[in-house]
Amino acid sequence: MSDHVTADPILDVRDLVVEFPRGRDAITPVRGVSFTLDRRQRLGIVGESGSGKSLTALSLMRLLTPPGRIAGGQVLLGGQDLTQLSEREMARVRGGRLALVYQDPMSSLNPVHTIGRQIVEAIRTHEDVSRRVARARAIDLLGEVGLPAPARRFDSYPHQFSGGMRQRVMIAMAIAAGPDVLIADEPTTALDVTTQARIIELLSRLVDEHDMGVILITHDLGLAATFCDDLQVMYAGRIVERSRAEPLFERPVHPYTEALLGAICRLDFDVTQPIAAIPGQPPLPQQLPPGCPFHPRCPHAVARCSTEEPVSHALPDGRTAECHLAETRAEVTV
Amino acid sequence: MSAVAPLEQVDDELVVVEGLRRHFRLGDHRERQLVRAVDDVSLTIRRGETFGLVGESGSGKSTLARLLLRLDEPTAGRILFDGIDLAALSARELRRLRWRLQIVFQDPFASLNRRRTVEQAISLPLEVHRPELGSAARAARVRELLDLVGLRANHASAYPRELSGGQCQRVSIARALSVEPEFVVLDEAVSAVDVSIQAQILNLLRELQERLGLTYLFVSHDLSVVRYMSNTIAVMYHGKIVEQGSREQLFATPRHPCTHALLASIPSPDPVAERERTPAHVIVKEEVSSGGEVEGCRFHPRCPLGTRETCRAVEPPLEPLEPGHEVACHYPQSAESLEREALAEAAPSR
Amino acid sequence: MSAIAAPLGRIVQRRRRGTVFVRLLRRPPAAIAFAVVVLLVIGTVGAPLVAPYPQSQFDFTHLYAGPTLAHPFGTDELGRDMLTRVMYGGRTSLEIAALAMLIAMGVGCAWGFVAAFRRGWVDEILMRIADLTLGIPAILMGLVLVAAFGSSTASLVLILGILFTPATARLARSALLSELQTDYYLAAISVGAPPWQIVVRELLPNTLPVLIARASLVAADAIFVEASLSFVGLGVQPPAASWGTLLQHGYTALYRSYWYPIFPGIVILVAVLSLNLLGDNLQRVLDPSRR
Repeated sequence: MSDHVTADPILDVRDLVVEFPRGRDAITPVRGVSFTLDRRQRLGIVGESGSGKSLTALSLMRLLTPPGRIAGGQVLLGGQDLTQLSEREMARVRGGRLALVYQDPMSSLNPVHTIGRQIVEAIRTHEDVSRRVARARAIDLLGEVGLPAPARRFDSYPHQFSGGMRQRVMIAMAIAAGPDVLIADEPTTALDVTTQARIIELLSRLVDEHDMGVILITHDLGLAATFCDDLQVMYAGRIVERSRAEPLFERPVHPYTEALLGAICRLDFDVTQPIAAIPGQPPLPQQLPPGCPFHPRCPHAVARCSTEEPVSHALPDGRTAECHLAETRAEVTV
Repeated sequence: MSAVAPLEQVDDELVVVEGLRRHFRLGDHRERQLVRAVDDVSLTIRRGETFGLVGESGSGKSTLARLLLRLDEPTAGRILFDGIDLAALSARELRRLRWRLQIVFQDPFASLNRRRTVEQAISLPLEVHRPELGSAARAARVRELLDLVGLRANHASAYPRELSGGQCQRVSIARALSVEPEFVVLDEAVSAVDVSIQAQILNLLRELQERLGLTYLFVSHDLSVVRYMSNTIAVMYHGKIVEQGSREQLFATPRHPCTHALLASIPSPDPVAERERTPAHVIVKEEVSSGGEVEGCRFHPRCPLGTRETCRAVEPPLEPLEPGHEVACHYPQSAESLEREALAEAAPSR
Repeated sequence: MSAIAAPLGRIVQRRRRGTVFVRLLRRPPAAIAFAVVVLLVIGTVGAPLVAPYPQSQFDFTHLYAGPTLAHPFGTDELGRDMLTRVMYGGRTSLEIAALAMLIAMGVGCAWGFVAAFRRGWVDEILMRIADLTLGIPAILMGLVLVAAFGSSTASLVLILGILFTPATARLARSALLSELQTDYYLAAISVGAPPWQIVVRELLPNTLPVLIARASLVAADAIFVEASLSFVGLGVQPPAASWGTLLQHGYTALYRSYWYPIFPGIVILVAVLSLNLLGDNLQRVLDPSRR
């Protein structure tokens, strides 16, 4: 449905490196991440905890908690490098052209103000409009994100809403200023499954209506499958595989992607069989194994994997995989 | 009201719960609100089986789990464990019985004391219930348990902060198993760990059950995990069991709209299948505000048939459809027929 | 076991070695504060041994003398060596502060722990009393209590102890309450551990960092309030002297010799500051989650 033929992506991340200085050296949880995002593209970044996916999101917003910092690379939003902006300029970009929806809607809404007031403020921070205009716009927005009877609920407080409704309010605030890019960092993790499906559906609708690009950061491959056109799998601070969504699920090339898909407890699983678990633990950023970071857990590892870190291999249909065996595996699995 | 076995326990029934309630009051003096976290729940858990308890957050499943271990005091009702009425025990008697019932919590880090090593954590139950063991025998037992849950002996001297979430969860499991319990409550025990680790823990739990003959109460919000783990499954909604049956019954012929909604909401890691299935919103409405009491069927505000008079006025009892399969719904039916009826109902009003 | 006995890739990280004490002294501000406190204790408690002059050696040839090598802190209106007086005065000050701290911590912790454990009306009553007393400024409370009990050393200890008990009780209560909400506490109960064992081995060690920090803070505050009471003449009575009474005497002589009050003042400041620093650092070292 969405073939991105545009020459200029709205967001272009080049070789992003995040590090946390520690004593004389530094821990590098994000080690050179590059990707592009077009308008109306739904991009998924999937990984387990510690893979660097959330830090990637935060560094795009320049919201890393010190001493964490962007140690290299560029984040080009509409051609402008966000890493070079002053804090004041960045504050205008944040919530303006680049918006973020977090995991926990309760802690990101102010409990002592009505949701209406919070949205009006979000609108007026980025646009010079009167209170009345902003109020009308806010009510429209709340309706758009599926809050029933928005005019009546305008003066309600966050605690009066269910978790799903709060997340809708958060999304309304995020799109208030008409962002080019919306980053959704585990937006449904704190919600019930029945609510989760609706929030994802809402996001999906808003992408087209608002002509934005959306990055969905999640640990849940199932969720990514329902929403994303393109997927990037992160492991140990690198994007180890990227692909259109369907081929990725049909025939994963990187052994990690394959193992992750196998480890999901599916509804149609044979309950008499054990799940194909991935042995071991994901590596810590301060203790990366030599060579390919996945090799100690990889069932296909060869001698080379423990000495030489693989580079990104370009495969047919625009896929890439950071695995020494990528070409062979791509052919085998085709 | 519901069809449970009489209170005299049949031999293979390990836990029998009858009319269990836990109500508490929220809010200040002016705005008192009665919350029925668990409201008249009856269930039976058989020896050696895994009883799955599934529901959304706020359904009361974790409260129920804690009540079963008397970590929380019930407002009313009886809990029989192997024929012993837990509510009737004194604090002292209860402590002496505790080794037979153990629990593993959701948050792997919070359930371990940050100042105690792995060895200290695992040996606490041993010190309490097996005081006759000397320190050498205890240390040996700790090594044995570490091996059992797939940790290495040198993890014994580690502190929780030095371990990963999955490893902490293994320590919690080892602690729970140290005194050879019969019944283990797994309260969202795999919900906070990563996918790859979740699979490891699930396999471990099933393997341990087989080897040690354990009985599990498996509490989770994730229906696919509950299905994989449990023989009998109960679906809870707002403090009540709304549907209960064997794994086959519940997944082959689900009948309650709440179960349909849970089933329809699980995202499957397959984009092709995703495009074809019924989206969850066709089946149920979303909850708008938080809290509040509901007249009639407690699911009616979210049910596609919830506008019907009976549903708004009368609370449906949990009644058997077939042996072992019980539903609390005035109009129990399959998802397809529910959808048809809902459409037919909505049509004239347009 | 094949699936689960798979290698656990993570190497157990090495713990930071060394006892709490060693780790404390690795922090420069803490090391300095600790040295100062040790110096103060030696100088005051050991005053009879280390003071340069006997306690009341008059020298009428040097009244209100400025700091010299022979009298680094100068002399007072009777020509007594001020350094010696500050050292002996500190004995009284520190003794009162230490005993008051013990009372406040002992009673306060017991009070707070009972409130946290019993909850319900016990909690309500204990905490309302604490709130009531907390609403009145410490100095004012001190004045009222001195008026009621007199100002012997014993009653000063008692008064200061009472003064800092409610706040300590509140802190102890909240520290324990947050531990009572954790899963590991529930786990200890579900394991069937007896209550005393849960309190002593599981809960107390986790509340200790906060309480130890509080203890040094109370000691610092006690020094300060005692000095204030003595300064307005309601504290330690002559012929006994504390830092506060020295400050007060010095204040009356401010126009004749400005250094007279300065040295007792500086010593009070240094003592209060280093105790605060020490408590703060102790808390950081003791609490593993804060590293």
